[in-house]
Amino acid sequence: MRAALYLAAAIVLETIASSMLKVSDGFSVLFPSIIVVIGYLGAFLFLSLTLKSMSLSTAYATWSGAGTALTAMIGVTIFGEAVSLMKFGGLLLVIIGLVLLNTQHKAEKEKETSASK
Amino acid sequence: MGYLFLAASILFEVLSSTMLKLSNGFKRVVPVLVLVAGYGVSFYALSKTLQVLPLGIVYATWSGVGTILTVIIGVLLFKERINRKGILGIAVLLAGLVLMNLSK
Repeated sequence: MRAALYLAAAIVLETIASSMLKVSDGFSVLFPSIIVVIGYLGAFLFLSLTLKSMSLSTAYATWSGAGTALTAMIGVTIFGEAVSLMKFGGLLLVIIGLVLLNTQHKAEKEKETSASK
Repeated sequence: MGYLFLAASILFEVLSSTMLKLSNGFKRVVPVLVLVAGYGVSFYALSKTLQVLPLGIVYATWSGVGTILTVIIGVLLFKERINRKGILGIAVLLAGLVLMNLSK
């Protein structure tokens, strides 16, 4: 369960960092630029803590799916980016695709670990 | 122009994550140096991309194309395999990216 909390922290930090990347305006504004570096380092740290007890595939699937969704939401709510059916449909497909791709070998790995027991 | 920076950002990110794997847990110096520089270039290019393209679309494209390229490199360099679920994932991802990038 702690792994899920670590993962949530990693996702939130990464989302903050990417938003600050935009605000930094090409790394020309100092404070957001500093937050970008701290944010990504923090996210990386929490991700490595997560991976101590969560499988890589589950972590990456959740991380990329949730991160993409959250960042798109921030784009719309905070940065006033466009909302359209096409964009939303595309976003949904991207998230599904990311989960499928990150978990493609999951069933095989689980069979291997139970077979070797 | 935005898409050129985005392409550069994605390529350097994939290069760096490949180096991460080759560094064998940060034990080999050259891959570590390349990956630090590579991530630096990648995030700089990403920040330039975000000056002209929307955050939501840029992030989805960066994640999506990056993941696909990483899987392909896994197959080409590290003898990893893609199964049917993986191919479906790539197809669905690409369809989603096309829709997002074509949307207003």
